Amino acid sequence: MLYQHFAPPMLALCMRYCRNREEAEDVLQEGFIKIFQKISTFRQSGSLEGWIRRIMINQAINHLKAKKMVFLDTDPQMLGNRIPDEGPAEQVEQLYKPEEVLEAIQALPPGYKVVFNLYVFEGYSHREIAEELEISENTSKSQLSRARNYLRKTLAEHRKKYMNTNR
Amino acid sequence: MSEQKFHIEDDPLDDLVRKSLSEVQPEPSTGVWKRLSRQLLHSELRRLHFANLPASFWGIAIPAAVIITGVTIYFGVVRQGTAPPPVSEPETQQVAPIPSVRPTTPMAQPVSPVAQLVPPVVQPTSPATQPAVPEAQSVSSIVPSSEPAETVAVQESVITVDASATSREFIPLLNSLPPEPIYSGSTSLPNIRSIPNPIPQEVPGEPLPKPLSRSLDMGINITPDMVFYRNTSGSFKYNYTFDLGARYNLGRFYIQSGAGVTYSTDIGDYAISYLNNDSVGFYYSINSFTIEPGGPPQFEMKQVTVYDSVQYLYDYSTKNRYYYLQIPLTAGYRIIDKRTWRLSVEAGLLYAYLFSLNEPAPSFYIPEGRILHIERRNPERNRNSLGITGGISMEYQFARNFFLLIEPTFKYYLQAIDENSSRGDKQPYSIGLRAGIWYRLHFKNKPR
Repeated sequence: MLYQHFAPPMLALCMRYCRNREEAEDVLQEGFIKIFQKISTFRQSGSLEGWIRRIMINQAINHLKAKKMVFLDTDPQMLGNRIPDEGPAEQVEQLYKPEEVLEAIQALPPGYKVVFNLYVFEGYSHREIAEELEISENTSKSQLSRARNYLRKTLAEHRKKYMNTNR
Repeated sequence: MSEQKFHIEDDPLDDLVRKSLSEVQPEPSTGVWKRLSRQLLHSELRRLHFANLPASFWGIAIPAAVIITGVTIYFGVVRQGTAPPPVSEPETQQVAPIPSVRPTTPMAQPVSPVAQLVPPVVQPTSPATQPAVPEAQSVSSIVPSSEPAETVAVQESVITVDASATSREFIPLLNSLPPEPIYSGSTSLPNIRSIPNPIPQEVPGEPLPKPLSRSLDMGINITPDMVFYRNTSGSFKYNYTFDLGARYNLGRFYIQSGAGVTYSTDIGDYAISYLNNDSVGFYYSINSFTIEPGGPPQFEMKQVTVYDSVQYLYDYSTKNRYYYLQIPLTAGYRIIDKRTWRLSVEAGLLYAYLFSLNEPAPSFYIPEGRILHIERRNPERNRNSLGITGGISMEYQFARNFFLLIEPTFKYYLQAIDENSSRGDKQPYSIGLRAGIWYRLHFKNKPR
């Protein structure tokens, strides 16, 4: 069944764009409505999962647009990686549980969140993001930098808590 | 699993996040599928709209409706009107053919100039015709004549007599008529005069038309409605209507009207934009550093959070209440009319007027923020609306003059509920179930 097969990965996708699970399930529901209504327009030449994923991303972006997400334009050069290296990647992975990372992404402001998701998870370039969201490339870059800093801050707080509890 | 592409110059954080969430695939709650399937059903129902139906449907539906209506009217009205009246009906009595007149005088005898009444032999067809016998005698009075006898056959006929009125009205008339020659059915009845029968005579196969029954029904009803606004969300609302109805019945047809109050709710949707101070990032400030020979410099840093005035948007909902006055005007036809239950179809117009509304204003408090703008997303509602309505009425008579009514109804509004046509919720429709108790007041038909 289409829903049973694709609902879990699509819910994971929606949860990255939304603030919580309930909101993500609403987006998932609306997305599947469109999928079922437009399944006859799907061309067999492409990937079904890619087509479904595209609909879900559009649905999530529309959902955030309805919330009037704000893109604050800032020079990305002003923002940099101002956090020290976390160390080897394997160690870093052990520090954070997936739920914590997801929570940190969900806590991002909507503008940051969309750009971050499109860039990191969907592999969009800044130009593609700019076209998709009707913003400038610089705005996209600044949003990504801000999102990364925001995430670093959040994850660093988690790290501190982790270190304190394991001392 | 996915067709993702990644950038060559990724930040290590990107990779960390991707790897952390690569295995996250939560199962949606069971309520999602329930809501999804329900919404799919609603969207299918929304597509079932008169304007969306294909031409082939109308090509079949219109001729079918014409045929069904024609057959119904033919069997319901025409055939009912021409059917022979039942034997037990007291209004109509059949009288036997005008009797063979038995001569009171021998044929050879001269006929007396004095009029002689010869009672005919009346053969009642049922016990109910008994009271009509004396009157029938009067009708078929035979007056002897002084004219010469002739041999002419007397035409036999069947007379239908309205026992209640006809005799009383016509007997004086008969008595005042001058004698007229009539010729007897045999050579033995010369010089007989007969008065032509002025009573309306039934032609075989064409009975006298039966008067249509008339009555007035009055009832009180409640109708829960599911109203489909046909907007993008696919949601529907429940309306509740209390109405007083009146119906004038003429035979199987009726006209119905009344007045009702409809209670309706909707969500007041507001977007509140406000400014609030929030952290937008942080940096590390170097407080001091030490340089030790042979080693790297040691920095003592502190994290500094950067705050900025960030614009936020907050969705605020209120519960709005609306009260409409609804006045329908419908015409109906009773397809099935049994003693205890009836089935009717009806259709007509519906006028709705918004006479009261309660739209609470949004109350939103931000301790450290500043409200910039409050935008009302749902526009104001129209005051007047016109629609078409139809239903299938089922009635069950549980007492002499009282009956229960259950009626699935359909309403289609010809105007939008609000003033903004861009919302996509023009012309809503509703499906409801009207239930009520009715009283029937019978009118007596005037005697003919």
